[in-house]
Amino acid sequence: MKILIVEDDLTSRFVLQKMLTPYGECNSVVNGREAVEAFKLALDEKKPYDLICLDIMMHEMDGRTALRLIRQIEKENNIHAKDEVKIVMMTALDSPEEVFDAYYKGACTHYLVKPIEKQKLLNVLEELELIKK
Amino acid sequence: MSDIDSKVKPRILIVEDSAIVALELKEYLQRLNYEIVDICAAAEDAVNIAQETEIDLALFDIKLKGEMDGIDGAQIFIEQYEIPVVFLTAHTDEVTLERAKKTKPNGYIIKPFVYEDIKTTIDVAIYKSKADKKIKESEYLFRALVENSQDGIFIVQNFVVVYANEAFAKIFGYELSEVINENFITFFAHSEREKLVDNYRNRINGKILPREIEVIGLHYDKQTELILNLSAGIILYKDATAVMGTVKDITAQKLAEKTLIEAKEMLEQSDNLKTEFLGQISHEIRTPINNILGFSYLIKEELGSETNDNINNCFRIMDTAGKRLVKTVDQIIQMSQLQIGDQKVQKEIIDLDKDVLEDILLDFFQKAKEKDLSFNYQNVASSQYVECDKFMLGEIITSLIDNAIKYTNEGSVDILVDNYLDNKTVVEIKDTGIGISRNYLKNIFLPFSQEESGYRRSFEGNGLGMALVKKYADLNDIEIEINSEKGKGSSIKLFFESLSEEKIKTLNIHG
Repeated sequence: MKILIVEDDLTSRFVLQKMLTPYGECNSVVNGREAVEAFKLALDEKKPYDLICLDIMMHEMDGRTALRLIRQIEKENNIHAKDEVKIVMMTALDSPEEVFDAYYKGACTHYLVKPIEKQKLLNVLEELELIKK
Repeated sequence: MSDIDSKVKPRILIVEDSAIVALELKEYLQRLNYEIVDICAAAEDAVNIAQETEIDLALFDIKLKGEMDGIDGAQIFIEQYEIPVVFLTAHTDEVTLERAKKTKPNGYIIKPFVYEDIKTTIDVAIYKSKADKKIKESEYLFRALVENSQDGIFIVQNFVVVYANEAFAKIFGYELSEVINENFITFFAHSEREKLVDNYRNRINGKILPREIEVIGLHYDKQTELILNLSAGIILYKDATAVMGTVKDITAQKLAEKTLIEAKEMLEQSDNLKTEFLGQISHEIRTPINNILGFSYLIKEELGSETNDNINNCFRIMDTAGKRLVKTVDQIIQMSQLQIGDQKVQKEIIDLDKDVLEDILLDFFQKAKEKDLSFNYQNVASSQYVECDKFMLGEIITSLIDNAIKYTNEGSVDILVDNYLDNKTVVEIKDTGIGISRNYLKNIFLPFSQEESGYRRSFEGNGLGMALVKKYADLNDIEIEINSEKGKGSSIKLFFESLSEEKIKTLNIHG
């Protein structure tokens, strides 16, 4: 499995990497713009990501915008709904409204509230059928 | 002609010094169904009768003996008593006729009489007089209205004020006499004059314009600016086109409006600041806690198998403490958002099982297991759909189960979903915990309240949990019922409003 971690907070990035490394190849970037670029690059190389862990509040380009752009690129490349990359949004729950907005409108697959707990993250991955129970 | 008081016989006074002519007239008129009030030979007598009796019309011979002749008498009748007069005349000289005309009589009957004409002349005179009276009355009413109006009323012709009422002068601080014949433009601020001239011309040329505009007026002191509502329309005044309109002084009203808008903006601004501040505080607390929790996790992973029970216990305590801090911050922020009414309720149809309980229960299985409690979930409801804000419902149920586990040291925590009367859905959270005393039950929903307070209390918590539960429940029309016995356990039931037929139908369509 190929995983992209998009997170501008050093701790969260380390934690996610630690938690996810056993399950696949992890790349980390620090903002939405880099995330979109990495996503494009992987698509061009025909080695697309299976999972993107996307922080919502980030400098330069936030997670919501990145989510929208990624879905747009998928559309332009005629990628089927079932082949869309699974995106888990991560939020500090500063405003649940913001999260739900992203959850519904931007069609992210799931969301998690920080601090990220390993068991919860794994539950989500199981649900998304990215790892087996 | 007969439509004015046709049922009543018209009352007529004959003033004629020739007795034969008078009697002849009387007889003729009576036959035509008129009532003859009296016959007088002198104008003085006629005036006396008019003072005491109601008369619809007087027939006046012009040439009468005595101090007054018929014209003098008629003048009094017309001007003082407003009784219409028809003159009875023979061939008369030009001078007399001119005098007669000046009294504005309602008709003439020429001697010798052509009887057929008399009735028409009399009827027309009575009718016209009554019609005139009505016009006068309505004119009087109109004048009273205009003069007493609080709004300024004006008529402008060729840009000159040809008529204005007291209120108009008062608004601008003038005397009424100073206003008349003044240039209309004088009453408005220099910046408005061009606009008003255009407006006036366009109106005169028949363009359709908004009936009412807001303009800045200029007070008599040439300094104070007034905010006015000006409305106008075209009329015909003294045979020429004119603009008639009203002016309303809305300066005070506008000032109040402005103050209100400013106050509202300030309030919004401070409200935004408050929301922003809350968000920032939350972020400022969460970020360092995230760092602590994250790195404690990383250290633990790094140590791997090199740890021992003691160290593991330290990590567990760090983790619990961190999460508790995060929860407290969240609850304080949620409570303050509710207090300032900042929380929007986004109701939607929710599958209790799939959308809420599944995720939450998963979290609590582990916690219950750690305390060696039996943790059971049962769903026997035929309909598990409710209409709620998903986030808020999640918070309610999480809080209640969290409490149940926290306050239960041995036994079980059971979650039950069922239907109740009217197909209402009920969620019950039951525990075998320490229970709630009757005394505290009254205060359970008060913020910052706990059954035990002070440093010696045996349970941790900020006392916000149940207060939030209650607030969220109220916002979502969920009823809460608490049954508890000290030392035996508690049961908390959430009653949801039943879904309307229509909504159930939509559900079925969507599968």
